[in-house]
Amino acid sequence: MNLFRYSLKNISERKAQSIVFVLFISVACTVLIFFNCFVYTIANQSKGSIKTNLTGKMIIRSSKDEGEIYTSSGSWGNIIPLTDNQINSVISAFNSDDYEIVKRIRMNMEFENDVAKVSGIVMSYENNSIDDEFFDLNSGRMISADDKNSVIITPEQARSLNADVGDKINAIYTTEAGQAEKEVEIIGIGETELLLGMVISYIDYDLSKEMLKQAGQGDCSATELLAVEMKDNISKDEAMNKINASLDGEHKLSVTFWDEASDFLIGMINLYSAIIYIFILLLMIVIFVLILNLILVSGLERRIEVGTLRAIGFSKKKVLGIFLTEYGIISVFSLLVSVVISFVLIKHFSENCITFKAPITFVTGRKLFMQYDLWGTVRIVSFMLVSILMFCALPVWRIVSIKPLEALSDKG
Amino acid sequence: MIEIEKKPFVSIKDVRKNFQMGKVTVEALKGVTLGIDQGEFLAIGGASGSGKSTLLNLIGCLDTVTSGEIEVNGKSLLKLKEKEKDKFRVKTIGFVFQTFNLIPVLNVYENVELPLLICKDVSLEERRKRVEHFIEAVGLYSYMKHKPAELSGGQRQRVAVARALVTHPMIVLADEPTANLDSKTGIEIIELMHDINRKENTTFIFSTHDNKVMERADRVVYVKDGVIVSQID
Repeated sequence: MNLFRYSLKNISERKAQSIVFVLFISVACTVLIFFNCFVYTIANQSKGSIKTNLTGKMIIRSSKDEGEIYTSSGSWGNIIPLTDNQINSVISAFNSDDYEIVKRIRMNMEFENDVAKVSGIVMSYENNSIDDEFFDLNSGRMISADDKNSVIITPEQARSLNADVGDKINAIYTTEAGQAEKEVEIIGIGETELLLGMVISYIDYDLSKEMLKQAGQGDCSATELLAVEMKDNISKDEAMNKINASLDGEHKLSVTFWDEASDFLIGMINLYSAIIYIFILLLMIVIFVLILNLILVSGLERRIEVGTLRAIGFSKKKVLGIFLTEYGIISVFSLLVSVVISFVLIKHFSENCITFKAPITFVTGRKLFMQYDLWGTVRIVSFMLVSILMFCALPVWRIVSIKPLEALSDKG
Repeated sequence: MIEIEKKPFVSIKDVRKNFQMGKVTVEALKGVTLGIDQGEFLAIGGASGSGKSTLLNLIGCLDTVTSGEIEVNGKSLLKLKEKEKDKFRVKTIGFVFQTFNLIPVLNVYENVELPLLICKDVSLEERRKRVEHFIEAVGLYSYMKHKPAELSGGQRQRVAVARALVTHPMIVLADEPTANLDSKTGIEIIELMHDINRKENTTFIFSTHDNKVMERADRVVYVKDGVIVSQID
């Protein structure tokens, strides 16, 4: 036998106590890992959703466009189209193997029928190529390249208008002569997920070009360009210089990366993440206080053992080592159990989505497919192990500091 | 011819021990002076609360004196630091407790082996030999794999005796080793200890209030109200 085996014996023979510890730590750690992966998934998907549906990785627009787009100080109403020369300059400025540039027209619009009038941002993509990765289509279908006068509205808009797929509604837009109306058909009802309640509808590309023309913008094919695939780690200044170098005599373009373009939304995601992490922190404080209490109680039950060991000649350090080895083994085992349980749970929820109902859908979307945050899990497990041992050390030190005579005077 | 005074193996000089019980100071030992020779089988007799256990605890470095001096093998225990006391207890003292104090999760072999886990100078082979030797000496060779809960009171105390002896201590201190045993088993334990005392020349100091047990000792020191009242060889 050696001291390590002595610790192992204590664990295996005091089954009830060991099981309580393992259950306690593994359940607590599983909850922490699960919560962390939950936050990670929401943050990741929200960011993915912002990139895919709002900004791409880099958004290129007129430098006359005031303020940062999609931010709290953004230019929601002031839409300035790009000229063909500007669009061509951008396309030629980047190697097409490393960058995919997508044309988009963005405008504000109202939809009206006999029931109600609703407003929101309306987007259209060249070839009607709406990315559906984070798009939750409730009914109908996506817009295809051949669709004319078609619209996809959000479920909220559909509820307000009391409209369904196949219904006709009026799109109200601004022209040189004032406001105009165009009848459009609802071909789908759905929404971009995880954009924290931002209302975005989609119309077909030809219709939006026509509307821009009527607004006095001529043959304009985009109000902004999105770089959706970027292999370079290019800086904002480098990108702007590259684009603007060939633009003589025309107003320049501005470049905004996705995270600054959507700083309002990113800020919201970080705020929600922070709230959940504060909750996790409180949970951990409760867990550690309970662990502390559990160890003190179990230590008091072993006073005679401590007294006997000290009387035999075991130093405080040796007894401390025995106790810490026990709690170390239990902690490592419990943490491994929690990693396995959380992995199985998250794998299950990554294949079978968690469905949410309003109002939490504002943050989570209606369906959430969990993702495993490996480094987050490693960080949690390491933090838990160090914290548990630190929290153990305090009560264990108190236990082993009992004078042998005091401990032995306890007749059990 | 000059006669050189032989110093006893354990020398206790005017030892006093006070305990503070709230505002009251209790004098457990009131100036005890005693010499114990190496290999002696000494009983400390006296009623409950007379100071027997306090005296044993002081010799075993489990407690410190209020005043006076205790020397073991010429070394004063007063100046020992915490670590030195731990070392002293491992190398010099073996304890036998009234309530046996075996570790419940360990079997007989492991309980006896326990003190050797912190003796770095004992090899694995030597450890095995010693443990088996003392388990055999206390007559529990066939119970080696048994846990304390599976043994009788007498058998448990035998394990405690083997554990106390396994480090080859100079002194075994036994505090009321027979108090939790029936009289027949108690006598058996004392005879076992006496037998080992003769074979290994280990000094045994044990406390008891049982006259039948005292009869087996080489010398009996009677303590009453913290002072030695008589000594009988």
